[in-house]
This record gives sequence, structure tokens and C-alpha cells, in this order.
Amino acid sequence: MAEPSPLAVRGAGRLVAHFWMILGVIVVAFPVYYVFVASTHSVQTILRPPLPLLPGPEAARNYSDAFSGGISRIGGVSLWRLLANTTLVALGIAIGKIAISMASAYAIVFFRFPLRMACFWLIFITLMLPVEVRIQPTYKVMVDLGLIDTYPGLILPLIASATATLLFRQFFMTIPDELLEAARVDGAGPWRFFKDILWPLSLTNVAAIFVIQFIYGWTQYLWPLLVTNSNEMNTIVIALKKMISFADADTPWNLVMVTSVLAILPPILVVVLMQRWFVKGLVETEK
Amino acid sequence: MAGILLNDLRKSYAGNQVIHGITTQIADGEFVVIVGPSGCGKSTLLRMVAGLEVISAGTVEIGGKVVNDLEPRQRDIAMVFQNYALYPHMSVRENMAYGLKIARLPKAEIESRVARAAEMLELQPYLDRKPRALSGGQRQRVAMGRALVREPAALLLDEPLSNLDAKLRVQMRLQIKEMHLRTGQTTLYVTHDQVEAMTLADRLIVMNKGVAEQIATPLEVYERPASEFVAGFIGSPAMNIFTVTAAEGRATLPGGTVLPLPGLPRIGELRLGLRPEHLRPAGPGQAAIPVLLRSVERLGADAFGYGMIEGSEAPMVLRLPGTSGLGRGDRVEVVPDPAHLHFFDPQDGRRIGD
Repeated sequence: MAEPSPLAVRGAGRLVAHFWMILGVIVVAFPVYYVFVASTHSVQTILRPPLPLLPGPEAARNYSDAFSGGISRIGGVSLWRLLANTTLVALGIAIGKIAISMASAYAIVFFRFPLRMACFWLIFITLMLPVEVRIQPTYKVMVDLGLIDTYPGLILPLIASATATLLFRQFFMTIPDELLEAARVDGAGPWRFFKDILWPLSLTNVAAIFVIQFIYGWTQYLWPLLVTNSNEMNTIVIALKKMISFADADTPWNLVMVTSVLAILPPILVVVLMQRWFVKGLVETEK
Repeated sequence: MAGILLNDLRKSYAGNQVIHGITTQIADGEFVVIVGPSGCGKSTLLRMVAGLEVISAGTVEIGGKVVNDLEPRQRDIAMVFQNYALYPHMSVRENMAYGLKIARLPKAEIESRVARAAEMLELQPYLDRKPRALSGGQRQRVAMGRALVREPAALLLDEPLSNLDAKLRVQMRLQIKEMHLRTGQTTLYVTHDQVEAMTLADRLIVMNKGVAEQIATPLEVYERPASEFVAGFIGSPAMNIFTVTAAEGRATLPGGTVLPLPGLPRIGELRLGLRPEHLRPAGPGQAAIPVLLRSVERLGADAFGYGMIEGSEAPMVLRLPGTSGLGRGDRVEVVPDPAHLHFFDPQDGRRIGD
């Protein structure tokens, strides 16, 4: 038998603990469930309150309609295109952030150069500035570079990340100096040290940051809204917003709900698939 | 393989000098141990040879080539670190092969060298394990293997045994000695442990506060320590050293006892050093050093008596037979062996006389 945890609660305490836990799960999960339920009913059912609590019979029709042109009719762009756009943007942001923040953390931790600490603080200070503060100048830069309605325009302004740089810096600082020295004696230059030693040791951290940043990229709203004019370049979140900006009765709620489900699904998949690594990266300090 | 030449090697941190000019020549195949208390600069000296610390002044030559401005990898050295610094994500085999892989040695050559080192260090069963699945002693051997497969001009070891337990340390010490005899590898070894220093070294560099106090064979260091510091550092228990007032053929000890002593190098104040093992019980009527014992440590074969010269605060350690019945409060009279007297200058601590 497994050893009881020292925090194991017995009797009434256990019931109370479970009650609160289940309540919390319901509060968090019910709206998501409701979205799914709504995506399986016809518009008429959705518009006639109350909305049933159980999935309806229209699932197959709603989903096949959404994928085969239903969304294009309202939003002017296919659901496939939306998903592809968003995936590309989210991947671009996540990978770009990891690349840039790892490179800058590597420079700050392992190299001695003039103004090293000044660079670090400059990066650090940007943590305090929300994206919205610099949105006008950033927009202007994108216009001048002709990047409106392009993938680089959607991705580039979002990939500088003080948070990820800071996380990698903290992790790199836990690498013992002697490991670096051993690699130097073995003949590894800066690039080899990064590739052969630092990168393999960072993998769990990379996974954790990838998950966080993928979701961050997937759920971007304000920036894609500003930088895209053409429907073709919309991300799924923007498309959702555009779909419901009609009068209530004209909104094809069943298709909106299908789109919502599809907007929620990929982040969940990423979390579930990478959960093991993600948790490892956040808690483990194995060396 | 090659010799190493240190020429007036100095190191300063921000104007603060920590290594004050060390000059010595290490012959091809020689095993030299740098020994000293913590903070004496011994590791810094080794790291300067390795190329991990910048040399402030002076030169290091390895194999007849000045290497001051070369990266560690260009110096043809290998190093074993105190905490081993194994690559945690690589297997034992990969750890040992990494340096050779970077040096672009042919695969077959890498494999045969790793196999040879693994055999010598009895690591064959662990080649595919990760360092975290190894015991401390096994990790230490992997670190040794990683250095040996490089077949470097000079092998540098920085307190390689200090993280091991006492029994393993003795075992590894013997293994290192044996390995040196087999490979004839020029070796520079840093330790604070005088037993390691005495047993392993062909020659010792005894360091104190950034200065090489003495560079000589272990026996010479023991028999003719060049300074009071060396005398106190090498030897266990440590040498008894106290101030005496010398006159013609005799010396006044702390507490007022007058002892006839041969070979006094000068008249006046002197520091006299007597090793515990060179003191014998006095015969009847013989002029002797009276010692009041405060405690006796029994180690089985030997016992060590700790006390003071009667009538003074000068501490004295005596080596007694293991069966000695002496204890706290007893008074012992001892005479020094006239062949093993050490005299030091009271001002600069240097050895005087012969």
C-alpha cells in the first residue's frame, strides 16, 4: 500500500476539501463545457433559452458546415486558413521568443562585455511595460517596414520577451562554473558549449516556456487586430470577434461556438501533450 | 608529454596581488603536488597553468612553448575538477569521448582510447550509465578517465579526492599513484591534504599566502623545512615550535629551563622546532624539557600527549607509546634528538643554520 502523505486529510476534512475542489473545477470548466454543448445545437435551439445542459444532435452538421465553407460565408475566410494562421503565429512567437531569450540570456550569463549589466537591466525594465504602452510606435514601425497584413508583422513585435530571458538567465546561473571550465578544457568553443551542453540541459525549461508562449501567441487579440486588415490574415480569435459583431439574431451562434471550441482545443492539446515536461521544467532543478 | 616551466608567475585581482612570483621547472613525467592551506593560491596557480585564469605577469611554458595567451584547449592539458564537473546528460562513455570528439579524432581511435581508460579505471560496467547513477568514487574515476583519454602534455588535478570518504580516498590515492607509474604522465596536483602531498609527490610546492615557501622532495620538506610555516604545515601532529634564548651551547626554554643544545646557529632569540616523534624520554639526571600533560589521545599504536612546557604557556605535543599509562596532570621529561633540531629566524620565519 502506498504510504499516506503527511498532508493526508481524513473524515469530514476530506469531504470539505473535495467539496471545494469540485466546486473550483465546476466554476472553471463549466463555461468551457457549455461552449461545447452550444456547438452541438442548431441556432434556433441556442437562441431559445434556456440552453440545454446536454449535447444536442447537430454536432456533425455544425462541424462539417464550419469546415466546409460555413465560416467563409460569414468571415470571408475558411476555418482551415484561420487555424493555419493562428498555428503559424503561435509557433512563430513561441519559437522566436525561445530563440531570442536564450541567446540574450546566454550572452548575459556566460560572456563578459562592456555594458553587460546595462543590457540586462534594459531587458529587465521592459518587464514593467505592457505591450499596450508601446503599441503606437510599434505600429508605426510595422507600417514603415511594410509588414501590415504579413506573418512577420504578426510575429516579430511579440517575440522579444523579458520574462523568458529572465527565466533562462536564472537557469543558466545554476550551471556550475566548473562544467563550463570542463568544456573549455575539453576544447568546446562557445557554440559547441551551447549546442552540446547548455541546450540538452535546458530542454525541460524550453518545453515549459514553449507551452506558456504558445498559449500566449495563440490567444493574442489586440496586436493581430491592429496589424491585420485583410480577412485572409486573421487569427482565429480575431475571426471570432468579427463573427459576432452583427445583430444578435443574425449571428450564426452554432458556428461561432464551433469556432470557439476549435480556438480552445490546440492550447489544451499543447498543455496535455507537454504536461510532463512542462511540470518538470517548472519544478525540477536536476543537475 | 612534456615538461612545464613556470617563470615568475604572478596573479592580481584588481591591483591586489594574490600570487607573488612563482618560478619552478617541472620535468617531463614528474608528479608535482602543490600543497597549502585554503586560500593560499594553490588552485589559482593550477588554473593559471590550465588557462582558466588570466596570467597577470610571468610566463607558463608547456612543452617548451609559452602558452600565456592560448585557450585551455590549445594548451594540450587535461584537468580533473574537485566536484568532477561531469556532463550530467551524457553517459560515461560520452563524457570520456567528448574532448576527443571535438578534437576530431577518428571514431575507432576514440573507441579504443575510451576502452583502454575504462579498463584501467574499472569502469567498463558503467560505460552507458549517466553520472547521476554513479557513486562518488565512480564519478571521480570517470573524471580521471576523461582527463586520461586526452593523453595530454600535462595532467592537472584540483583537489580530486576531497569529496570522497576517508576509505575511498586512500584507495584512489593508491590508484592515482599506480596510474602515474604506468603512464608517466606529467602531473600537477593540488591538495590541502598533507598525506596526499607526501605520498604522491615526486616534488612538493608548499604554498602560503601566494608564495612558494619551499619547492623540494617530500622527504626534504619534512627533514629540512625551509620556513616555520612549512615546518608547522607538514608533519602530523604538527611540529612544536617555540621561542628560546640561545647562549653558547645552551638555550633557555620558556618557563626558565636551561637545556644544553648542540649546533645553535646564533646567540640571542631563536625559534626552536622539535617534531613530536623526535622527542625521547629523558634518562635519570639528564637535562630535559619538563612537560605537563593536559590530555592524551590514544590511537592504538601511538598516543599523543598534549601539554605545555612546565612554567609556561608554550604548547607541546609528545608522541608516546600506545600502551603509555600517562594521563592528564602527569609530568614528563623529554630530550630532543640532536640530529633533528630545526631553527628559524624569529623575524622572517626562515630556516637558519643548516
